[in-house]
Amino acid sequence: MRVNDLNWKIGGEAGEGIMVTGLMFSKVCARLGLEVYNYPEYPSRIRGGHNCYQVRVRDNKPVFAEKGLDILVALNKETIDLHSNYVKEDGVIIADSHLKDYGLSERIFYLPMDDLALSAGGKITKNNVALGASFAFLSVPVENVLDTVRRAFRDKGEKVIGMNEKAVSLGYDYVKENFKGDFKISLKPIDDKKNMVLTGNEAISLGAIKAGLKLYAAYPMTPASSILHFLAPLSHRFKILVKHAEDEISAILTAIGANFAGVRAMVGTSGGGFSLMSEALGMSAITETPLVIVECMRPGPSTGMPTWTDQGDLRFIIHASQGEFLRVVLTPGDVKEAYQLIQLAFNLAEKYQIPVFLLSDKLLSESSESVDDLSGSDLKIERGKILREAQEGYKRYDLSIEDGISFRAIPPAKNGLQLANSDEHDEYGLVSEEAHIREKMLEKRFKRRGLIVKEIPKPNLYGDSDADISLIGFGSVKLSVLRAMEILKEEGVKTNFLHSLCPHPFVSDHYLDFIKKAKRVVVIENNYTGQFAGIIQENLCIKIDNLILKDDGRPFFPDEIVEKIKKYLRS
Amino acid sequence: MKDNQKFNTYQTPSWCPGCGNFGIWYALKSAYTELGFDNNDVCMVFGIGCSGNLSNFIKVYGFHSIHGRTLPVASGIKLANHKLNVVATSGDGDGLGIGLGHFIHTCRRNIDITYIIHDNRVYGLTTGQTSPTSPQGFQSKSTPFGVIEQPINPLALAIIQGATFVARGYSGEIDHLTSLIIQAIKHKGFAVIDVLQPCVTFNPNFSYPFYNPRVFKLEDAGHNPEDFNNALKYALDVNNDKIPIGIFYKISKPTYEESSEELRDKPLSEYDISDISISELIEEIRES
Repeated sequence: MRVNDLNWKIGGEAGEGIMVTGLMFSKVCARLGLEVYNYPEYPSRIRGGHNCYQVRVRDNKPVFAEKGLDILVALNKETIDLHSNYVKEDGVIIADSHLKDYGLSERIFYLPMDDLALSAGGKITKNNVALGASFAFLSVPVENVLDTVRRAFRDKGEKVIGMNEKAVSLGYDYVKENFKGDFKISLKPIDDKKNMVLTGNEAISLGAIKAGLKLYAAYPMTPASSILHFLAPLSHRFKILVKHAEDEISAILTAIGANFAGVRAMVGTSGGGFSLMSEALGMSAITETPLVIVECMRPGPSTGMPTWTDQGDLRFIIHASQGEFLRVVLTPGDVKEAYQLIQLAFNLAEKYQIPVFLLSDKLLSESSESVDDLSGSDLKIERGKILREAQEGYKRYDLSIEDGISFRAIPPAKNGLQLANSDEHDEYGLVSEEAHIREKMLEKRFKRRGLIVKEIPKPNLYGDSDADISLIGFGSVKLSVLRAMEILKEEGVKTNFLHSLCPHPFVSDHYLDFIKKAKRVVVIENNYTGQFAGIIQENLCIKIDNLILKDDGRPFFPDEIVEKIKKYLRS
Repeated sequence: MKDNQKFNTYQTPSWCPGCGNFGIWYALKSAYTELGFDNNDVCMVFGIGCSGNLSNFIKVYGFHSIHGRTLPVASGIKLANHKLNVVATSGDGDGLGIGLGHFIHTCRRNIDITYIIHDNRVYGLTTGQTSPTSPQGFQSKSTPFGVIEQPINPLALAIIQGATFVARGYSGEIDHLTSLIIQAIKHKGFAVIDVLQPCVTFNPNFSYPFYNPRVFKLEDAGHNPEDFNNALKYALDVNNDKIPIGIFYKISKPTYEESSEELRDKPLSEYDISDISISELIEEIRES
């Protein structure tokens, strides 16, 4: 009997409620105190096409989607065709009875989903029949499932709640009465723990609210849109102006204007939208107006694969916009880091009066994780050199200030007059093309780099000190790598992992020691060309021979990383 | 002559002698003076071009943004602090070419911003190419055989797309333009003034000798600015030898700020953000 170690997946057509059911499944588990990781896959269309949602459940972190399935819930034949190969020997496929005609695999348990749903009150409750059935296999008391269903439909009225409760019970009871086999996995609650489930984008949004976000401007684009959807209903409650702008150009300029006028403003987009924003990025830099940009990557170029994942925009973010200027790129690896780093992004943007990126991707933004608590990760708000009143003789771009960071007077502060100028400018902001002013202003804007590199987060080191393989990566590869390392350890392979939370500005000292001590360095990235490896190479003047890359729109699964590393060890 | 000195910066204007921008510059300073503004009572946003260079010659809070993008920046400033008087300016190339989308969307938002278009019907700072308001057939460096497209009609667009104050000024009629700017700033809502602004260097055919005999004031013609159909008729009448200036259209409608619940209590910039509690929200998520 295995306890609290499960990989569950549901698949069906887009529009059948796969995502909602998957999320409910994970919430039942999280409320038992278990750790979950939810990985959804869906095509870029509203109806039809294949959707699936995978929930990995464990006692402890790390937890990440793995390929081998214990339970596969199939609402259509395609789900069986695509995923039944991954069902483990002792796993089960719960399929709708109408699929019986296909013959299919012996491991299938046929559940009359449509019939039971109809008797519960409507075909629409079919998913909850499957939900109830799943938990019957796992020996979870039906009351736990009903509790989550009641919460999910809380605002829909008693009738809807009743229908869905009945659907869960009918599915649950059907399995209890008709499944005669012996299912080897059960889920047991962990006392005194009730986890919640959050996506990366929800964590980014929550962190931004906590950080005092006052204006969010965006144009819808997957996989960033869910930030807009999360913040919009909260706008009245937290006094945040959420603006769906006419395009991304307007969104970023609105945010820059708002920052200039003294509020914390943010934009969120994906690579295509950020392409449109890149001209304004430089304006934020030369006017020294703080700005926070969330970029959720998806595979490009161009429209690429809108609903899939990728880490291919790193170089683009680091180099976007004409000219040379400072920026910071933060790359959280999980939900908690996303919550904390977005708060840091606001602090850095205001303290150093620069644009700061939070670089996510579809995997982090739209997958969800169990989280116990966030409050321990809160950062103190630091607004830097901001003035609501200024002295006579005030100069916005005062060159005499040693660290290069001059005071930012907020309109309508008396004596704070200034011109935020996209032209090169003098200390008041008025245009100047004098060589000596240009030199001093460039120097002013770059001088703060020394302070910034002291404050950006160092990479986190995981694993053994005497590792055979030393991995380096950034952002969302983290959880999969940590899980792979755990599997490797069980097999006697020692690894360690340096996880970068801030690939730019690149601080050589953060990486040098790790690389020097490593027997063999492997850089792992969700892109085609190994962009981060390139950055490490050019900064440290070393050659990195070993890359684990993947750019098919899917994340690394731990099993794949394990295989690749074993291959390196054999070679 | 009014004492507008306090709105001058240490820089002297870089426009060509006779440039229509001088008239707009003077009218703006006069309007601010007549409104009793201190330098910090107004925040101006500028685009790129000869109009944008005004940013260096007028001493107020300023944001000299990028080509075509004045209105989103101005909107961001206004939404962050709706107590500020925000005045945006752009050229016809800047605001009606690359930035036309923002113009139409800002009209439909009816945000309380005054928007002045320096309309010289040519690209000046890039030394004389056709602009979106150049007439058909206009020969320029970029259109040596004449423009094929028909021109943009900023006033008609503004009227049909939701701007609540739509006017045309002429930089050769400074007192009249000053009065239009004052009324536009006082107006609650998006106020557009398209200003006929001669470019004596690159578009001499549309200079003072062209405009002076043609312009007439709508108020003298007995036009009622609340009359939508008549306003549109005047705006669309582009081939007449007479050119109306004055207020074409003016109505009262709720502004974007007034309709935003988030802005009801006070400007966003006045909130203390040092200790925002989200613990209740987190518990709601946990219990959902």
